[in-house]
Amino acid sequence: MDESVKRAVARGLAWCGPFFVVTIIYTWGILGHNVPPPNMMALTPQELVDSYYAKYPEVATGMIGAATFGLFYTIWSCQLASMMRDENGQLGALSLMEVAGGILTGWLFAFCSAMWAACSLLVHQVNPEIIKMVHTFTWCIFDCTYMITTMQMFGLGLWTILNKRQTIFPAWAGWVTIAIGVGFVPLVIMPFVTDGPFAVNGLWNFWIIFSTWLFAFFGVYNFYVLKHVYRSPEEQKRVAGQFAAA
Amino acid sequence: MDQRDALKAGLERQPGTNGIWTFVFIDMIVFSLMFLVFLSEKIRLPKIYAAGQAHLDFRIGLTNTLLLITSSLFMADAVASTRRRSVVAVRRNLLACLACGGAFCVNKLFEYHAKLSAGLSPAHNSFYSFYFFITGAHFLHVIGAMIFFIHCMRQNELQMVQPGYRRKLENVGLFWHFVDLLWIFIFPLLYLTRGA
Repeated sequence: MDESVKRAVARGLAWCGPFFVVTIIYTWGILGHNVPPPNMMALTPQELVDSYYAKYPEVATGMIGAATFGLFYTIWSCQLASMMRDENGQLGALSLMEVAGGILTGWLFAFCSAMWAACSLLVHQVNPEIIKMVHTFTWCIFDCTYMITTMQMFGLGLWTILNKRQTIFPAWAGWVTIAIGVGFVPLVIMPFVTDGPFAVNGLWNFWIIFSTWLFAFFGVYNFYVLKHVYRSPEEQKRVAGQFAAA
Repeated sequence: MDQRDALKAGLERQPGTNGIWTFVFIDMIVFSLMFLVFLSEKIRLPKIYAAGQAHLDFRIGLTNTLLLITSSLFMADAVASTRRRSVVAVRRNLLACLACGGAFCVNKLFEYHAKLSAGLSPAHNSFYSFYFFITGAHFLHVIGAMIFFIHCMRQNELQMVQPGYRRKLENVGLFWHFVDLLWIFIFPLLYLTRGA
């Protein structure tokens, strides 16, 4: 692949980040009526069906859309990992942690959205108890496997902070990323509470976690990734702290 | 000395590196968020929070406060000892910090065990969710600091008189003072202030 093609590919993959943000807000958030999601632990099965799935038939469309666009997170994560090289140009364990987390997070968006789409599509054919079971089961998978994304953020944050030669990403972004990753921990409480900040739609477990993840982590790193892919190859090597070939 | 040299000299006198100050600032924001959400919940559920706080033993909290404040004194002395190049004093002070941190951890674990044995888990109610979340996050910081103390103590005498070691110890010291400061907010917030 010649250099101009490589640069074009990198730029295309980098733009998958903003594309993911816009599409997931629209499909998962707006069409999917997940801002905030229904508090299923506090609702009976019939209440969940009446207030959410039966009330908003567009949830099915939104979730199928989210199942597609969710994987753009993974594509972006791969581009990010390709930038996380050590001084010798090698990908290290932290880069692999980042990409593994990105792959699994994208998969979670796709898989869970598909499950919620199924609930929406079958709402008039299946008992409310089954709908609530699948809905709750999916949210437990979506929220309680937060370590997938925490792992990605730790890998990225640590690489940003510990790789003193690179200036692609500022150190403060690495610290913020790690802090956000740790902030996910209260998600373990989500299945057990019916109200308050740690409920599925609570101030901490929904509003703070999702907004910091999407804007303070993903938005910030998107900015620096896009800035990097428009640099010249020589400048890219310099800011990445990679040694010139002997 | 021109202005640029004076600025450089001034920055070199700044205790710790930019990294630790960045970390402390961001950590402060995260804990501030936790405290704000805690307070909003306390206003929303005054009876649950009052009942929860009544179950906490303020003597344990007070003991932990005294342990951390005392250890901060040892930490400050450890940093001062690096300037005097007194390796023995540095090690002695770090050991004292480690002992205080260890005592804090033991206290905390006993307290957690007592709560969990009484069926008061993080899922019990909003107060206990926050109690475990806030003190748990702080507890992890204490463990992290203790790992840094051990790392600093394991340096050999030659390494300990280098300027880089002093900078490293200043970073650890700043982190430890921040952990101490956090507890000074957490103790009254959880153990002392009670609503109507």
